[in-house]
Amino acid sequence: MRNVWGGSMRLWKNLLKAEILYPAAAIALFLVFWHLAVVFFQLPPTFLPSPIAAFGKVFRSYDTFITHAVVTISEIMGGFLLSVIIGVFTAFLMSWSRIMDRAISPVLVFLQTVPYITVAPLLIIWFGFGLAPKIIVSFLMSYFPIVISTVTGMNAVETDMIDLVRSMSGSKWQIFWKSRFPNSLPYFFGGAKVAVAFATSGAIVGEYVGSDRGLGYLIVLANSDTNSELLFGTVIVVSAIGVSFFWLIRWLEKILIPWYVTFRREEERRVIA
Amino acid sequence: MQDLGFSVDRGDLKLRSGHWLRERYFDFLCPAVALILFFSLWEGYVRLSGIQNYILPGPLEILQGLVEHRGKLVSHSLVTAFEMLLGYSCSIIFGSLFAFLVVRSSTLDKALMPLFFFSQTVSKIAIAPLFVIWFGFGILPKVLVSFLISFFPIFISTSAGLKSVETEMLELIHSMSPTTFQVFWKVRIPTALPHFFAGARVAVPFAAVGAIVGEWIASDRGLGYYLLLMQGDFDTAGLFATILTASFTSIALYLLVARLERLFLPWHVSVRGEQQLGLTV
Repeated sequence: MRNVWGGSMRLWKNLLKAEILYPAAAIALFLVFWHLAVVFFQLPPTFLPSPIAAFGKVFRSYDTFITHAVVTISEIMGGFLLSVIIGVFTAFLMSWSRIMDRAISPVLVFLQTVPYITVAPLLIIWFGFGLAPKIIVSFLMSYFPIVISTVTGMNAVETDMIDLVRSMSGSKWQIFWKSRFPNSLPYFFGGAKVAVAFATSGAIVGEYVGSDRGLGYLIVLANSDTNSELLFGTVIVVSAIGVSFFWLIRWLEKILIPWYVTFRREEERRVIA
Repeated sequence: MQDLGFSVDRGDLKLRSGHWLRERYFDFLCPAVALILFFSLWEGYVRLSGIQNYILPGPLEILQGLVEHRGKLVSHSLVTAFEMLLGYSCSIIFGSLFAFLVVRSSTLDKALMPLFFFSQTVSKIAIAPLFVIWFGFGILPKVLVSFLISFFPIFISTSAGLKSVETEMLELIHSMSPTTFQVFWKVRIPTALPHFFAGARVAVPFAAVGAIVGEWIASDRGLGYYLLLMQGDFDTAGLFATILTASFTSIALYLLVARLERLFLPWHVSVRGEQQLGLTV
């Protein structure tokens, strides 16, 4: 009894170390080095403010950051949700019909190599300085990882599974719903974690090109005033938003596909222990 | 013919799996028809609706813009291509170097991995203005942004490739008491190359994005600068032409990398055909 508990406690501790302790230590070390570099080389604050000054800026003018962060967050969510909806639908079409797959996949391979942010100035001409152009850039950047990983997942179903559904005279729709769709979920979440970071970059870039609010606007403003404290503060807020979205997706993954998360954790445990 | 989902569609099209020529033809025809249809609809819409050309120019007018701006586009795209190539080469060198280090020593693996993952949470695009403050208006900040954005896919896929060697292979070579160099040269590198190229292909548009974003923040040359210039002039045909040029620049480098991949991995090409879409980040 004691052995069993002792064993699993050790596994949990190892997992804790890998998931929380090491990254936290890395971040702490990074901040300490940053601070020491500023103090030691006596860098001027316009060149590099200390981490204390940067975080202080975030706390002092938190209301400014919140106002602008709300704008950026809604753009990220708009773009990301759009790419989830349209991306999953595209993946569905591609796995549903061979004609669709043949028509869409060469186009996707081609489009994947296009640097999408270049359309941002065009979208500003079309839609003005509002939310729409940022949502679209954010969507364009995050669309591909979602389509590609979802369609990979839908096509990676074992033939035995399809045969099983078919042996119970399942329709094409049932094959999709009972085997292809559940099988694609882990892949989908893998793609979504990459995509949400791209969506964040897309929203910020959209704001660089033309806007009067949002964190990207704040960065441009700080840059033109050479206000490094504001710049670093904004970078910290943007990073915090990125990390929060990443964790949100991990949490959703845990709720929606608990079977896969447990499986992966077992695998991780085996590797770590 | 009976147990796969797509066999039904195949039957409808009267395509038989033996006729590779017809399949090839079909592969080419579908996108071509779609593109021609798309462009004709676009041109037709622009002609019939009388929409102002600063909002939406037709494909023909965009071609005109391409011809009209060709001198400027070439010179600016050379600047951007140079920044992109420098950033991309840096990420190839450092990406594979760090992948080697991480695989070589587990201490470095434990020390560096969390730092790299932490650095992934900081949007490189958000810190681009910092580089302008630090390194001025020259080429260096653009190269840095391009490097930082394209580094991670190359590093991650190369290290995954170096780690994915089968244990049997390692045991085999160890039974012949090899040097560490031999283990890398004979086993790890050949296994890692497909992964490396997959990462390298994904990283190409990232490098382009980095260079262009760097130019947006502060620059007086390069395609990023020219995009904003065209936007300011409401020269939408020119803007489209610049977007096309930027895409061509990125695609040219992509094709170059794909070409090199074929050169280095002739044995792997047949497998690659099906996995072309695989985005291994």
